[in-house]
Amino acid sequence: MIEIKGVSHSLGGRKILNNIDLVLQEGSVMGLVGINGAGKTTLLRLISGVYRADEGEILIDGESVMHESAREKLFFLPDDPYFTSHTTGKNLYEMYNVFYPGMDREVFHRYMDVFKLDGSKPIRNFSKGMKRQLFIALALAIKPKYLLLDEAFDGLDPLARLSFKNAINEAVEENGTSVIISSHSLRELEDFCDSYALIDKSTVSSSGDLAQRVNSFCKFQLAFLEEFDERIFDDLPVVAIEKSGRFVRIVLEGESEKMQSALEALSPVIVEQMKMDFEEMFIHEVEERGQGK
Amino acid sequence: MTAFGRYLLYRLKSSLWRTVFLTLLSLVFALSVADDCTSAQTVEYKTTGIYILALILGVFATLIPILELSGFKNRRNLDTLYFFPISRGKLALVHYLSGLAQIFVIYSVSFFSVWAFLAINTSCFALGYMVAYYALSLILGLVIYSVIAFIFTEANTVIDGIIFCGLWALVLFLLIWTVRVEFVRDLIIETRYWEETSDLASWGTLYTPINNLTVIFQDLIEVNRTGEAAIYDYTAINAARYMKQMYMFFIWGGIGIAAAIGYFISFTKREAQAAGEISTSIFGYRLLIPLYGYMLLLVYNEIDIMTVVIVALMLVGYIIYRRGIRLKRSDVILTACAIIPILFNYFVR
Repeated sequence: MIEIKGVSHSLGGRKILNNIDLVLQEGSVMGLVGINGAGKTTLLRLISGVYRADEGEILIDGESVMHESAREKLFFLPDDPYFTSHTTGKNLYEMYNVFYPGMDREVFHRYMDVFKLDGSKPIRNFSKGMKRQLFIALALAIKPKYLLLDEAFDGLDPLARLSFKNAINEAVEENGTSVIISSHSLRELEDFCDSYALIDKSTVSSSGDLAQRVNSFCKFQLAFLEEFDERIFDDLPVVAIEKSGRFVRIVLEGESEKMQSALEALSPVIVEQMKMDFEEMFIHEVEERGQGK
Repeated sequence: MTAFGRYLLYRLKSSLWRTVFLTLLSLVFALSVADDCTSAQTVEYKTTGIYILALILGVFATLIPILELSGFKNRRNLDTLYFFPISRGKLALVHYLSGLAQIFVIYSVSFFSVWAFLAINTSCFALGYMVAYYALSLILGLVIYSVIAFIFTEANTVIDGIIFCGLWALVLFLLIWTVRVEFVRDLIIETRYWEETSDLASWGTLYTPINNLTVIFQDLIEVNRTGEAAIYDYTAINAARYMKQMYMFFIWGGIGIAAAIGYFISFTKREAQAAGEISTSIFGYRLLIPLYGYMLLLVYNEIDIMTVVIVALMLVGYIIYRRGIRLKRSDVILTACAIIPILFNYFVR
């Protein structure tokens, strides 16, 4: 279990994270979301021990992340991992093997084959997606207990995204790896994350079970016979509303059946429930806090 | 084997080809100089050419720590290096020892090759002293290495690190020279002190102790000088002068120990987010710009166009420090304080 307790961190005199409390349960896949500059990367760097928290502590299975033995359980894949111009996949394997002597060479080669990567070629010639796949192959060979991925889907084409997601799923299923993954591709996150943490205004504004949270919202499309006043919805827990003539799209927070009954009581011609997804939930939550458009 | 041992071996292995290349380069250079110095027809004019060994040691004791530690100035690199399961202290030690091992190999191969060359091709030198020279020069090489490692670690970028190393290499010299000019020449008017402090200043740069050690040992090893050669033997004259200030070896030894401790403290305390940022260390521009500016003004001791140039150079220093012309109030105040040494020179001296 990763426990983040009261963590605060400043960069260049600006408080990026303030009193963060968060827990990653074992076997969980957590989506870390937030607008640009919210502090997702900083939080991942803190969890991986790259940064030292100004305040608070980060515990990996009860041990501070600054201890070597705690970091043995981690693998952090930054957005833009470093390598020299002549580094090859094989070189990287050798370097990581220094710190993770239990690395599984066979698994590494298997995923290099799956991703169709040549381990003897310099990485500088790889596309961003190929580089990411190479590092994922390393991570899978290491079989870390905790995998931290920053901007995981950035620069990946749809096929690369699919193979990337499959690889992560395999790591979770085969090795029981717990994952924290930051991304702006919320639809991708929704596919395989079971929990989420939303970083907003330097703190975790919302976190928990992803499906439960998404299901706590419901979206409807309504049509009325005549023009109507938006104030008819004033008694409902409205999260977002978009009116166009006699039509309206409305997002409500609450149990969908109850909300539907409440809307039907307003006598619309049509009440149609629409699918609510993580991305919409994110937009509404952030806008509600005044960070959005 | 622990992560420390494995990483050290990895570092040594990955720097192997560089070490081999630099060793061969040094070897060719050292042997050609030794060959040249021993080629004189008469024995009185034969020299060992061991100064080339001091040069090799000085160059690599400066270059290798910069190469070893440059990776820590790149934030992308730190994202990887700092999450690895190895403590910052051990990481610092691995890179320190790895660089040291490279220098040891490069220097030792060159040293013993020159020694063997001299032993085979000449019979006029007291080569037994080479053992002591080897041991003492290695210690002074370690001092240079530790000072460079510490100062370079204090910088946030490679360029800043190189600038800091260059400026720190001369700080002690400039300090001694300033005291000499300000107080010994003008206030304590005694020729004896004037000459003594001149010799003392010759120990002041980071590289002069190894030069002075080499001169002393050249004098001991090259015992063949007689007659006309001895009259013009500046090596012997300088060696005699340096011998009087042997205590400076201990001072530099102390500086080396302090620098090594400073390196480990600095390395372990540094934050990853500082990499690539403006270097605000007290051992960097913050201290060096006013120190150099004021000392140069005191030493120059005139009020003319050069005074303006020195003050302008201070401003240029602050522009380099801040990476732009938007200076902080403290920078402007410290530059304006240049008036103090100017007035001191004008009224007191």
